Amino acid sequence: MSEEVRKKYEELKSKIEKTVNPYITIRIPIPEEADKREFLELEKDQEFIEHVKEEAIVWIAQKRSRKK
Amino acid sequence: MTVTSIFILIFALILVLLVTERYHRSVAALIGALLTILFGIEYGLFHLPSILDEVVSLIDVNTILLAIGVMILAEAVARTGFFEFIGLGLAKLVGGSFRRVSIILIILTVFITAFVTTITAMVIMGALTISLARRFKADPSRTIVYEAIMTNVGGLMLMISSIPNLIVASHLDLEFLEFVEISLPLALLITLASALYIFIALGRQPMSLRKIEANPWTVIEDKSTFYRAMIIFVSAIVLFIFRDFIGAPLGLIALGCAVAVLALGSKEPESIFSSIDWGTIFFLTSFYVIVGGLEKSGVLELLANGIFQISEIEPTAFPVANMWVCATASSIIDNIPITMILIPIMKYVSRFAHIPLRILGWSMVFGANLGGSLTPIGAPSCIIAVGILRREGKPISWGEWFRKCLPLVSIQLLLASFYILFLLKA
Repeated sequence: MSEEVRKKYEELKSKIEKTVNPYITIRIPIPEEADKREFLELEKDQEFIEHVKEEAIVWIAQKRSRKK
Repeated sequence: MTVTSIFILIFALILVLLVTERYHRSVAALIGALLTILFGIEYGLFHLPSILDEVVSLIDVNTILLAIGVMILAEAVARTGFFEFIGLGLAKLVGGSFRRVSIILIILTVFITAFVTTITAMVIMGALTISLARRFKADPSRTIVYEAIMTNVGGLMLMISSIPNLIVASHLDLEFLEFVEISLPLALLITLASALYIFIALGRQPMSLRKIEANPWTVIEDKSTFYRAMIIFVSAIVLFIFRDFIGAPLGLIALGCAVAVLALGSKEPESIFSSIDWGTIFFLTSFYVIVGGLEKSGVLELLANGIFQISEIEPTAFPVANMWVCATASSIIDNIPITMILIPIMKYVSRFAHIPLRILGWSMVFGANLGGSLTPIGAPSCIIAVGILRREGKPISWGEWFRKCLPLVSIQLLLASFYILFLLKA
């Protein structure tokens, strides 16, 4: 697969992925007290991602109740 | 050395370059075209004062313009998100299990490839399949492989669906509708039989009641460009169908519609130009020069005599054998040179063996398109499917490819063989 085709495929996949399996990308700056290597590894840490997902649900629910 | 032996050597060199892939195929063809011109001048096949006119007369400008026009049109439509829109809409409609969604995607692949190149079709379907498989938590490997095979079935559908179709249609003076009358029934029959086979081969997958909640309209970035591109594309198809009444060459119609889509149905003409497969256009143009040289030097007549001896053994079975030879050759090297070399040879064979040229032409169309699925390197879509699976951490070996594909491609080629026999009798 040529570089050009690979790029086209990745762009298209990300567009479809956002529609089929919606996700958000947020930039989290490194906290002052965090170790850089450990912090960067979080991006691929499934346990951390699951934890953030649960936090998102709690956050949305709290926001909804505040609105009411 | 005689002129024939020199041109046999040039032809052998081009074949070696194409098989070994030492150079990009377009560069290999350009080298061949240059050698053809140089030795053509040396041996008196071309004459220096009129060399440009003589070389240009060997090139089928109508086919080249048609290929460029269709590529621009298809790329503009693909960029609107139309095919992803249809794919998501259908997947949402059938839902249920990934097996059901896979069958819909595989059938959709055939119809998409009827209009766009196999490369674009495979990229779109690959991205759709991987995303939907993730949603269903299913393995997309088999679906991706079967989609690659079905792109080659889609290549049979219309005259504009693949380059070999354009070459054969141009040599046989086939109109757009004449082509569809013969090719479409076979393409639909093969699609139906393949869908049935794939449905069984995919096996029972755990029934997932996951709903696809996606709104297909979200993949259409700009509705007004989308509508304009679609109107121009549909108009192009209508103009192709009624070309006989209009009287203009297909190449001119395609180029006119391409200009319209660049002016009205696209926001990024520059980006569309860069997506056009210029390599194929150069390859096609150069190969016309090579074939012209082979014809003038008597090489094609020599090859035709040899093939004619074989055709005399069993004239009825010859078109079927020709299809299988084309299919096998297309699984190793590009189907464009095979078609370009064989079509003038078939003209000789048809004249001397009294086999209808149209039947021989059809046998080449079927073989050249379907044969690409026999190996993972037989067609660009197969190479892309293998690349996608490797990227997604599911690499596939040659052995696995044969295990998954050989039975299905054999069924497709057998159906095409019976269809050729039916055409011979009709």
